[in-house]
Amino acid sequence: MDDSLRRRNIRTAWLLAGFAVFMLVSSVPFWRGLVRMMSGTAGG
Amino acid sequence: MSTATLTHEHDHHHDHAPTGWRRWLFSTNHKDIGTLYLVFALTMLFFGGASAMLIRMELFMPGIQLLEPDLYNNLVTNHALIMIFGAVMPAAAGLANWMIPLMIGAPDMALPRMNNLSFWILPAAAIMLMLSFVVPFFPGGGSQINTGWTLYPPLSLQVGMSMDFLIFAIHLLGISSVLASINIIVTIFNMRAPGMAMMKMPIFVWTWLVTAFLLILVVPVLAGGVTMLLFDRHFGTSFFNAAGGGDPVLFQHLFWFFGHPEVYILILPSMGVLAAIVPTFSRKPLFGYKHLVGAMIAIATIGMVVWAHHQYTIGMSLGAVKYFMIGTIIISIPVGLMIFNYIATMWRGSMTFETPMLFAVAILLMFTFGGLTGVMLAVVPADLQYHDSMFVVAHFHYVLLPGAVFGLFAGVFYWLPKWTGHMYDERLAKIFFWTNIISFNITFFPQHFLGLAGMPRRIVDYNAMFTEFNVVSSLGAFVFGLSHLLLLYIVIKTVRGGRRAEAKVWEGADGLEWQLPSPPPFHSWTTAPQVR
Repeated sequence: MDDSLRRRNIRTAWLLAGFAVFMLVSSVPFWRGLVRMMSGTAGG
Repeated sequence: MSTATLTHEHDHHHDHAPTGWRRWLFSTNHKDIGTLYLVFALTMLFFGGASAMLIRMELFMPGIQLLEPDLYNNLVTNHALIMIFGAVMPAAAGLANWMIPLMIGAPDMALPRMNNLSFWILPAAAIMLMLSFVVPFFPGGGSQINTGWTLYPPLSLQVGMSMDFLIFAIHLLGISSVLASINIIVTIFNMRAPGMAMMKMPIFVWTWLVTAFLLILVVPVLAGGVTMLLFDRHFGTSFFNAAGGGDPVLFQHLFWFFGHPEVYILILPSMGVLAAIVPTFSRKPLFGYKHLVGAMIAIATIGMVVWAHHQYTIGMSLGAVKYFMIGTIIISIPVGLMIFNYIATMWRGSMTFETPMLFAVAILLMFTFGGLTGVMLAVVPADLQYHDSMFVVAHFHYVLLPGAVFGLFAGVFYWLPKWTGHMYDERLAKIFFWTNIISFNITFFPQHFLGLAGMPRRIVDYNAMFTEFNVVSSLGAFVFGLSHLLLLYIVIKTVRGGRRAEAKVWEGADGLEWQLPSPPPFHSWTTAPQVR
């Protein structure tokens, strides 16, 4: 595997890992809001 | 689908495979890691199967025969988690490791060391999972995990320390899955041979690309959910604890946002296997390649936003319930399209019925049946009656065994000669197929009637009126469980020897993987093939 391909692989992997971390940390506030909305208590 | 000019020199003299335990522990070779995944999955299949046998033994007759109620529910929990995370997902990852580089003309996975890590996290996770089962048997070990695989609070907040082992195991399994998914996506995006455009990739590779994205999207949400559970248990937070102002239903949403796409994560790779098998044994090109790719993307996209059909009974707003019902029913359109594509591929083909094709036909029939009961469960007023009954157990076993497990069996029989260089014993394989399929139906078909008659699931005892169907179901389950010993024997026999397999094992097979010898050299595609 040449160096440029190796670097490209690692770059893509970090991008995807960042996406996974985003899903992890964004889940809490998002889901709390959604549950409130769906149970009809939005803003309450 | 794609033809290639083979410029690859198969020089076995330079095939330096490491030997001994170092070969497996430090392996960065996609084929070796694929083999490790498959061996691990087969081992876990027997652990998960043993727990299922105990469950069916207990349910053989009404009354409590062998298991205390909490132990029974712990076995239910363990059976699900072992089968999903320990058997099916690693087996699919094993097929991916073995086949994706061979199919796209890559020398290996894009990140070979991470590939090693992804696998070796799994045995550690499996030990934690087993410990979660074993710990309550020791003094001070606390209570059994009686929550089922859904781990709903408030019950999961009250379970002893075994729940902490389980949460840690889920974290490890999640890390392993996400790392493997990242590797698969990077491999598919960056490592394809020249000329292997995305729309020339085999459908199996497409199914894994979609599956890997699904995993990256949903596994972190489960990780967030169980971490919050851990905080509620030990650090005084109240995410899910109603006594502290938390909401137990929040956990259900977090769980099912993972749990429902997980069904597609389990099924899609097997559907990819069918896309290889059906054209091979029909001796026709795959019907509707582009539509199949579109259907898979549609299944994944819609599958991500219909999770709450598992929660109709929690008291959602009417608008939400309507949305989830309609969305769930809409999924049957791309799933149906996929099934029709496979049937259209068979139409007027020169079909032969070797074991992989027998499995493929059986899958189409039984998975469709499981899909039909899924539509029944998607309809809210009906689901309110079926919810938490044995009907649901029958439904998801008809979806997951044909849709995921049998697809993996089909893939193993299809590619085993390529992996080992030996043909498997077709006669024994057919005996395995028929025993497996017939006993599967004897086990799970009666459970529909049990559920419709009102037998609840996850309860150790039942009313005497349910006895007959339970006896039939248990007898079927014992044969079904034992039939897997034959699978083990066939695999071991094939690995140890047998008739030599040619490079192109099956007459109608097409694709880059069949241009390599059987077994492929330790380092394959060191020179990339040119795909036309």
